[in-house]
Amino acid sequence: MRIKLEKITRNYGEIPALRGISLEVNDGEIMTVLGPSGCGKTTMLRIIAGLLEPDSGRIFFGERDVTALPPEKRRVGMVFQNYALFPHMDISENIGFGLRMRGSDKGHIRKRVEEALSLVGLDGYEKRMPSELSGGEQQRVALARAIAPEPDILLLDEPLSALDAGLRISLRHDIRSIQRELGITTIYVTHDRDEAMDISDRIAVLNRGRLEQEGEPEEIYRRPVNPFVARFLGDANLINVNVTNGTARTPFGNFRGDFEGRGYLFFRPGDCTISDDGMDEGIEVEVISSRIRSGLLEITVKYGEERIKLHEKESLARKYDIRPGKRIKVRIDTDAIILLKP
Amino acid sequence: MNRRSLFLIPLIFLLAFFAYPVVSLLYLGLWNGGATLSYLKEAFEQYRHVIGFTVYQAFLSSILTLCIGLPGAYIMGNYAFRGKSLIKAISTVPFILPSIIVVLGFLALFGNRGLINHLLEPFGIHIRILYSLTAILLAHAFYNFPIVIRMVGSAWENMDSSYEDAAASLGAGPWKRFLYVTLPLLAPSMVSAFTLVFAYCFMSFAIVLILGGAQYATIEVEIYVLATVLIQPHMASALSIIQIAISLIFIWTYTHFGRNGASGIRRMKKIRGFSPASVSVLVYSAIISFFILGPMLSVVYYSFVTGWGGSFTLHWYRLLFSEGASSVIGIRPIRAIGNSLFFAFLTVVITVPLALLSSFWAKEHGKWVPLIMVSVAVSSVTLGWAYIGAFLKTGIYESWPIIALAHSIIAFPLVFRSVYNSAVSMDDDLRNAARSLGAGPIRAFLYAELPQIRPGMLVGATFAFAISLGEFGATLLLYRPEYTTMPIAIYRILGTRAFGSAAAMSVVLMLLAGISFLLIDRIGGSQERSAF
Repeated sequence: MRIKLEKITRNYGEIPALRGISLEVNDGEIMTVLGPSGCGKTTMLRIIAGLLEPDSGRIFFGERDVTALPPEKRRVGMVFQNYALFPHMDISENIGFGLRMRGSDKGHIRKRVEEALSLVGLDGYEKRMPSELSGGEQQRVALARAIAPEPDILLLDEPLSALDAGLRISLRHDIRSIQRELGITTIYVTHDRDEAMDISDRIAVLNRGRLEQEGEPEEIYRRPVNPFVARFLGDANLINVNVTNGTARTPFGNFRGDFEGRGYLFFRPGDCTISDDGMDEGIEVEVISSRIRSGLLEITVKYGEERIKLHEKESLARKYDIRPGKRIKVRIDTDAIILLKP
Repeated sequence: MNRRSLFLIPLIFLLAFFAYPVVSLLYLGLWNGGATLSYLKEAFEQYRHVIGFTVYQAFLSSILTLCIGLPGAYIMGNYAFRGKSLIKAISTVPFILPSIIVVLGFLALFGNRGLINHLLEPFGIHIRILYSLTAILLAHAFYNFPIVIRMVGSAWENMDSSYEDAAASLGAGPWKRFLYVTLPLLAPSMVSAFTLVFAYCFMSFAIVLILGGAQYATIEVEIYVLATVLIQPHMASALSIIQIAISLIFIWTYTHFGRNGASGIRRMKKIRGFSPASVSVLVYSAIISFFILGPMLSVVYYSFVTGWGGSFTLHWYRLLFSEGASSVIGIRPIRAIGNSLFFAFLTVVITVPLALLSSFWAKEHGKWVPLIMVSVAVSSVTLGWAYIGAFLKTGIYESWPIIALAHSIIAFPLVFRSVYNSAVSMDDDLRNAARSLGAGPIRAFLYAELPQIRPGMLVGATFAFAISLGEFGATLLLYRPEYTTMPIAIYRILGTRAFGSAAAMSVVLMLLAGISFLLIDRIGGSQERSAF
């Protein structure tokens, strides 16, 4: 089921939470809504679920305008940040709740509960109470409950934020494969860029109630449209430049832009390498600091007034004797550089 | 010495002034040369109707209380609007109000010559609700519905909205959401509130004694009559034992319904302007404000006039401060004010330190908490009667300490609960940190712990003060004229139909109770809520 948002606006009192969001999610696709806390992503999800009314704008599921439809009629499965498992019902009652509300018969409910539990790998959990489950298990039950009534759309509101790091990674792979298996159109809200990069078909970046950019993960990472998206998707180098007559002239080359005045050259630390000793290419910089993180050598260097970050293989630390104060030459992949408007 | 062993002090106090009197009560009721059930059997047979009526009126009162309180709980738990905190504050008033004031307020408002009847006179309408079951039920509902608003309302307020959201996204419409999700999650708080209200109505005294009239006696009133008028100690004791047994069942139920843990963030619907929601909130607020403020304002009115429609006068207040002893209460009226303040002060001084010492111990022995608070199952008349049985032949009988001790025992459970809640939520590492930074045990207590427990102690102290100020049943059995307290004085004056005098005394009592109420509201709403 395709989802289409048309100029959705929502204010909380005087504070705008969403300012004219238009977005389409294709059938069977998993789209991540990524943004810092308070950017409006949860508000957007609640509006899609029907739990919140937009001040203006329209929502379509397929061809149908659902803007005025109450949540219970939207056939949307939702996984809440705190799971919201009904504490007074056991697991089978929780998972069967949606089917029960739709008037399914008991035999069918039992069968679906079993299937849903099996899908999330919790066979035999029917009679346990939510309070007896670990966080990861509760998360799985919440997912099973959301998909048991076979909704048209699945919404996940930071479903993994309450779990520890290892579990987060394995569960997001599970969510991804279940979503694939069911082929259900899914919107996944998160503030975690790694999660978004890992799980999404496409990503929509939200900031202060505005849609900054949407696109495939790689595209958003490589070709952000502004410094906010550049920084939010990962470590970014943003070098101050001046654009005159539509061109920024820099030691790294000339870049064309459709604006005048201050701007940034953007590239990822991975686009930057240390030049081999013999070669005379590249620019000379001074090492400020270096550290090894996740098997990667992260070097920060000074170039004029600017700081540049590099990611290199950690073995190079020894090869080039990287330490603060040392002068080295670095080369930047000019094809990767783009000029951004501030 | 381990400071937990300081629990011996409150333990000895409770054994001497609670357990021992109760044991002497059991002795009177169950012993006749040997253990016997004959008194109990006789009491059951002779007072079957009284017992039945007591349960019946408590049940009806609790239902009515729930009906009046639940809309308020709904409003508190779902809406945000201007004046919400004011409504909350007003709805707490009855809880801190001495029961004798409730009685007087009902007389002043609904009485045969009360405000409403005078206002309705031109229309030829005359209502008679006093001295009837209706009067008892209304007064009980009025007195207790704040408990429902506070307990159920705060459970509602703290119930995570995402449960209802989840139900909605799973296809449940508004009614199904309420039926399958909201109601079950509120059930524990509703059962708690119901049983607590039931226990209070079951043991209520002043309201039944005065508003019920002769034909509507409850166990509590009957014990009073048996003890003081008919002088039948065995029957009084047997009936007391039956009363304690029934109360224990309800208090056990109350403590076994834990508050639900379904707490989280709740979105409040904002009410602005004119809408069905704002009208209902307004109507409900107006009704409860009328029921709460109406009786009190009527009392104030009658304290300043010569009679209905009469001229303004300070006569009743002048009588209050006059030199001569009142022929009705036997002492100068102003001494009753002094006595009340004296006993209230003593009750604070006795209960707060005991509650503190008990809390330190109970923090490590949580399962004993219900036993520490078991005295709530003993009504005030029963306690007074037990004191007579236990201390009749001792030096403290008919002395002022016995009244202070009875007030302390009655106030202790609530005071303990307030302090205990603070103590339990206190981080033990604060003291450890203070000790590791070089503070001795005393300075660690003063600088690290006391600031954490102080709110609970202050709330407890205010409860002690207010409960002692309003205490009626036990005092009525134990007082001598020179120790007359304000509630007793009001009751005596009321007996002579000098309504203006009773009203003036009540206004002073209301003011004092009002001050303690303001203190409780200031110091910590959350503390006080959990102190129920």
